[in-house]
Amino acid sequence: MLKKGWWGLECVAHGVVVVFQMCEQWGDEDASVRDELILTAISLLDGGNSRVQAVFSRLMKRRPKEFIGELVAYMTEVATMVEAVPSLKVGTSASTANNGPSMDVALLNDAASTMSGVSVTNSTARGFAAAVEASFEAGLPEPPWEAATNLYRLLQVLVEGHYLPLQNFFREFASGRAAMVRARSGSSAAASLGGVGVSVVSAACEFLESLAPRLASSDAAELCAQVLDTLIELVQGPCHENQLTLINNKVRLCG
Amino acid sequence: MGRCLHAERIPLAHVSVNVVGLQFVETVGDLLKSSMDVYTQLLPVETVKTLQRLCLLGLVSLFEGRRDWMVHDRLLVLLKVDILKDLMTRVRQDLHTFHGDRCVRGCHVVSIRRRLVVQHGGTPVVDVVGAVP
Repeated sequence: MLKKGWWGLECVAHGVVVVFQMCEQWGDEDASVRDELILTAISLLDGGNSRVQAVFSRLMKRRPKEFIGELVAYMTEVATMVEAVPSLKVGTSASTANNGPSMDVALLNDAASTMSGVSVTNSTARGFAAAVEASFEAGLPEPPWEAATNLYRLLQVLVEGHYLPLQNFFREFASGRAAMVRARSGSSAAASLGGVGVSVVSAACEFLESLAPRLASSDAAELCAQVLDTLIELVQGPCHENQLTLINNKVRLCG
Repeated sequence: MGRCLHAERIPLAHVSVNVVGLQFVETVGDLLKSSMDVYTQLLPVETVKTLQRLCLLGLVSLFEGRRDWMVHDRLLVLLKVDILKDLMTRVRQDLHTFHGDRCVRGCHVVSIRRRLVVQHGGTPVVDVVGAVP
């Protein structure tokens, strides 16, 4: 019993240290520090440690601009890198054709014509893979798949066990940093954001929209699965407001 | 306090209206569709199955604990049901290919028996579904 209590205290203490470190060093240039902090936080929270979740929740709410702002900015930065990768326009809805250099199926078929494609699907897939590979060879930076997977894993374990305070917080607190990052990178999505704040739930959903038509490798697919897992964890419990956030369109007036 | 809200209403002619929405359902629908054709050529089978499972789990999670029809109505509008139908047909086909006819027939028999017990108090009705050959 005593041992269990000490273990809980130790976890809480570690949680405090990790959160403060994250707030301080999140925007640091050295990405390795941030990645290590994320991994440490995942270890502390893994399996649904509600005490550490409570500590994280209190501290985040005390410094929301630093933590959520940097978090959303990092998510948007990764999303911008992913959007630069050629996409596969397979969807029938407008969601996959929103932004970024999406490639036509016909174009992909042309690219695949040099290969021995058996069916249309097969040649499209090969063309898409070839286009992505060519873009990386041409100097396009490859998105940090593993780091992004860890980031979304962190978000998942933060709300693991349907931790409602953080589920609500991730929806309610909107940061304007995402719009700044998009504007800085010259992304077309900056116009749609219009300088309006973006919450973690919105950023995760928009990231899924960007990523879904660009799964050319197992790493990208793994990241996509993790983003889906995170979004599922954000709405389960159930969290009715998060459910509505994911299905509702809003009409926004801009001056 | 006590101010008339209508006095501060902005005339719509001077503002632009943006429909801002998260296209979660459409994205999941597109992902399901591409996981059944293009991504099967690019990704390992297990990864594709995991993606499909998570997509469906994501859609089901939207219904969790709801007592209204809001999500149901929106999903009917946003999701192409043909995709789900195709997926279920493939699942059935895979089951048939993997296990042979025996297990598929067994599943149908069990499901029909359960339904009979619920609907008719255990009275056997032959032509309920007509799925048993």
